[in-house]
Amino acid sequence: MIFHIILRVFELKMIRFREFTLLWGCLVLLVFAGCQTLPKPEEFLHPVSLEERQMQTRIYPSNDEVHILKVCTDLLLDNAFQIKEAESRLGWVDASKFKWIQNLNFSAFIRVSVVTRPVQGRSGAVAVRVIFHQAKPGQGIITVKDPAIYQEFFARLSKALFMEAHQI
Amino acid sequence: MKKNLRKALIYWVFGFLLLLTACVSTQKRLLDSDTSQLQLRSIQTRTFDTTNQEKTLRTVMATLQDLGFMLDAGEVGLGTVSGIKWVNIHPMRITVSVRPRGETQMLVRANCQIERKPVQDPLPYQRFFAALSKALFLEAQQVE
Repeated sequence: MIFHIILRVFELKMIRFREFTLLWGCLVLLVFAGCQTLPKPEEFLHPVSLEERQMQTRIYPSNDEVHILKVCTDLLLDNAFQIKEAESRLGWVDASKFKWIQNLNFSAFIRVSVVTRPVQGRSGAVAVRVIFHQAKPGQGIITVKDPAIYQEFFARLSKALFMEAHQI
Repeated sequence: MKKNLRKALIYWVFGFLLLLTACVSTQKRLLDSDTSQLQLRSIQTRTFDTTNQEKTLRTVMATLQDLGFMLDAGEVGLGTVSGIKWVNIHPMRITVSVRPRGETQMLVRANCQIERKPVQDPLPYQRFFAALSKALFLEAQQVE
């Protein structure tokens, strides 16, 4: 609606100041570029759904949290990720990569956070939470919500942990 | 022809003036006044009855992830964790620091910025601390 009004005004300007059409067009766009409304600060603090958290988390039987983190790191390196940040005392590894998407002729930026924690009240259990993020034009870096990607990561992690345990 | 040129000049000047309105001076004071700083600090800070800094930091990380933030940096020695979240391309950055306070408490301070501007509205901080309190309480309950 607003866009149509701007267009109408712009058209009128075109009739009156034909020679300055381009200038006026640029000015109107510039002025309205400054009018982008910011989301309210509290909108940034909406919690994610329980389903999303469950999709991102698996519990593995282990007493060695750092070992699980190491296996996760190897898995990320196997998949061409570069480790960006790591703090074993917090049980956290952060990695990223650019993935070339052939049919779109586009390089997508992917970032992944792996956080481990011993499960409270249950000895010998470590929870692994993995979150994939992807850069989307016009949206910033947003969380990947496709369950298949998480299932695949955990399947590969389970396999790697099994192979480690059996020294394969 | 001359008239046209003059007309063109007027519109160009007008256009540039309009452009310059966006160039509001950023050369304000670099540091805020003590009063506003103290006020902001009280909005940004809470104390929690725990002595385990590492565990508190881990709970902060989990809380940030539950609120949809992407973890950006974390260091146990300094007791800080940072995260970032985008809503409609606008990024909010948050840095949370955890420090011991006395013998029995931890001081948690959150610092939010949207588009590199500090957030001074108390509501987002209240939401963050409500989520953190819940997570710390749940952990405390599970330990007992």
